[in-house]
Order: sequence, then C-alpha cells, then structure tokens
Amino acid sequence: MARFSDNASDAELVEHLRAGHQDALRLLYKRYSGLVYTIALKMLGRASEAEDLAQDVFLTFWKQEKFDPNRAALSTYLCVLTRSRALNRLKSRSSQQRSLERLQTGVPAELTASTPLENASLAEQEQTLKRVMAQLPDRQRQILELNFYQGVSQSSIAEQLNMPLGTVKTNARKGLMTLRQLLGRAVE
Amino acid sequence: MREDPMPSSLSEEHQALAAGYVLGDLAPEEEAQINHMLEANPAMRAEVEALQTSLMLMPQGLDKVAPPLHLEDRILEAYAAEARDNPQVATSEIADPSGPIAQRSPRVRPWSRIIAMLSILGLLSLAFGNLRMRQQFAQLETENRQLQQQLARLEGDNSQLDQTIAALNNRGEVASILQRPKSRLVALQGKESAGTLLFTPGQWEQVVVSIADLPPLPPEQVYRMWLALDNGEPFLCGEFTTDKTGAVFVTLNPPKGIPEGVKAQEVFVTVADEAAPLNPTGDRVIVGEI
Repeated sequence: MARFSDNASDAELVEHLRAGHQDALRLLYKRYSGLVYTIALKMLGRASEAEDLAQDVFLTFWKQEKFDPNRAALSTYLCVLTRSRALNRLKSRSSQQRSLERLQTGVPAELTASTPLENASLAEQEQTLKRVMAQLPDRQRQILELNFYQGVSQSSIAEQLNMPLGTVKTNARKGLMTLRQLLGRAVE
Repeated sequence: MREDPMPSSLSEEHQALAAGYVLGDLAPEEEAQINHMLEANPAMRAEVEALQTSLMLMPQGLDKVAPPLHLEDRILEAYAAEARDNPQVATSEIADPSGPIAQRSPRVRPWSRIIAMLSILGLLSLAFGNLRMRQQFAQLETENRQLQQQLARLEGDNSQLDQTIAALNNRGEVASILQRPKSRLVALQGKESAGTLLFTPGQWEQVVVSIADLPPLPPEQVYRMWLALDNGEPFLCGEFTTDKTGAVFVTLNPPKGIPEGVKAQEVFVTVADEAAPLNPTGDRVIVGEI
C-alpha cells in the first residue's frame, strides 16, 4: 500500500526514498524524468546515452543523499547534477584528461536557497524560461547555450563562430546579465 | 509567474564582473577584484547567486522530450538490484525487517526452517540436525569468503586494467618528452602520497603526472595541479581525478605557456570543487620543488 499520495511534496518523497520506499523513486521519476532526460539528450545527442545518464542521475541521487530540501529546489538540483554528469561524459568522449577548456563552465558548487521561480510549478518555470530565453538576442543565446550545454570554452566558441574572443566574452556576459535582469526578483 | 524588474545597487561594470565570475571567464586581476567584493559587499554576493540561479534554470526553458517508456522500469530494476546487493544503502522495504541482512546469508535461511522441523522430531534428531547445519553453515561461510576474495581479486584486476589503459595512452607522451634533451623529472611528495612530474623547462604545454596514494575524491571534486611562478602568480597546469586506488597517470596540456622570462619554482596540487573558481586555495596535498 502506498505510504504517500501523488501530491506529496518533494521533501516528503525524498524522505520516503531514503527510508527505502521504492514508490517514492517512482513518483520522483514521474515528476522529473522529462527534465533530466531532456537535458541529457540535449547535451549528449544520443538517446541511448541519455537513457544511461538519466539512470545514473536518479541512482546517484538516491545513493548519495546529498540533496537537502531546505537548501535547494529539487528541480534545480537535478539540473545541476545532470549537467555535471553529462559534461563528464563529454569530457571522456574527447579525452581522458579533464582539460582546462571545459573548466570554464561555471557550475555553482553550492546551490543557494530556493528562489520564487524555483518554487513555482515545473510548468510555470518552463513557460517563464521559454519566454525569457526567446527575448535574448540570438548571438547571446547561442553563445550561452554552447557554453552551458556543451562545456565549450569561450576561445573555442570564438573559433567556431569566427569572432574575436573579446566579442564572445562580452556577448556571454551580456546574455547572462539580460537573462538575470529579465527574471528579476523571481531569482532572488 | 511574474518577473518584477530588478533594481540593482551594482554598477553595470560590477554586474558584468559578476556575470564573468559565474561564467568562469575572469582575468586574474578581475578575479582578485571580485573575490574582495564578495567578502565585503552583500549586494555582490546576492547578484552572483541570482546569476548562478538564472544560468542553472536555463534548461527549464527547453522543449521537454519524454523519455522512452521502458526507462522507468529499467531504473526501478536497477534500484532494486542495487538495494539487494548493497543492503546498507537499502532500508526497510528491501531489507528483511527481522534483522540486518548482512549478518545472515540468504542461503542459510532454509536451514532455520529445517531446524524448526527438526525440533518437532525430537531432541536427538535436533542435535543431529544442528550439527549438520553447523557444518553446512561453516561450509557456506567458507564459500562466501572465497567468493569475496575472488571478487576483490577481480576488482583489483579491473583497477590494474584501467591503469594499464591509462599508461598505454600516456606512453607516447612520456616517450616524446623523454626524447627532449632538457626533460626533467621532479619528485612530488604528500603526506601519504608520492609521485613524479615529467616536463621540459620552458615547454609547459605538455606535462605528465604520475601519483599514487592520493585520497580518491567524491564526483564533484577534482585535483588541480599548479605551478608557483617566481613572479608570485599561480599557473594552472590542469586538473585530474584518480582511480579507485588513488593513483593517477595523466598527461596535462596547459592551454597557454607561462610568460616569457618567468620561471616555475614549485609544483603543487590542490583539491577543489569541479565548478569552483580557478584559485589555488585549499590545502596543498602534494608538492614538488622545481
């Protein structure tokens, strides 16, 4: 018999998961598998690798027990975990060495307390981010996405896009500043 | 969800600095400036956090792709298998509620039922059955020990295989550096670890590192190798992780050389979060004099 309802909060589900209740993992999967799988597929480009990564993320999440519901939103935590693991796979694809190039990707080491936007529903978050990303100038969005999803350094982006490094840097910073300004208090 | 406009007490220049910090593209002097501001200015800290959150939320705007239907079963099966194999990470639902699984082999459980049956047959046969059960139990324990030893050996073999593959991959670089007339080998010494750094002075674009007995790190952490230059600046050679035994054998390719006329005096390794800013902070786990 289920020990909790489908409406249980993330924090409750995580607690049940840590108590050994498989149903909690099933519900968490139903909530977040779309997000995790989408990021994995976007970054790795292959369905089979995205499946492997999604499995890795959910099992790592269960085993590591590092997530603290009082300190971060689960959706953001899973985004960071998925991206970090995907970048590792991209690195091992190109080289055994973790090159300096891919260090320039700025994942925050520690998540801060949940912001209003992170506490909104996933549908609201998606709607907001879609609208805001669409408002970014194309060049800024392109550079931000190359850096974020592929872990490509700004010097490599400059080569790929055939533009001066300084221009890439300026566009990346402006893109992030615009994104943050458009989100405003929702991310404070 | 409404996003109210953002009044910021920071100048545009400082906002750009914060954005560069989050993107990890700051020049050393900018990094020094922002580190100072992060300590002294709460508005700067808040801005950096808001920028980090904004960046991390970017994937929420992607068109979601539904995972294939079989993935859920696959993950739940993997969960159940891991919970079975590692009862210490599993709990009540998976584990036997009557006691810790680790102390009782599942293969022995049928014998407890046999004991119950024997008790019905009488004291004599119980004693006889007990004796046989103990013998069987001892045998099972021996088998269990042997299996564990085999498993440990296999794990050891696997680790050696990883090291061999890494060594093969690095052999070319080592040979190439050794062929240079000025190549040098520097001893690295840590509290419990030791290793060597192979390089050619003035040609820092390729160095080979071999270290044993470093503490293996959690997934979000990495080792970073730095040079202490005689102009007082740190120089990042690259980063690496170890295998399960704490060993590493890797070629690092710093993307840029050290400035002309500047010499490296010392090499050292720090532990850092994978996403932490590129500063040689933290304890030096292993060092070598150049």
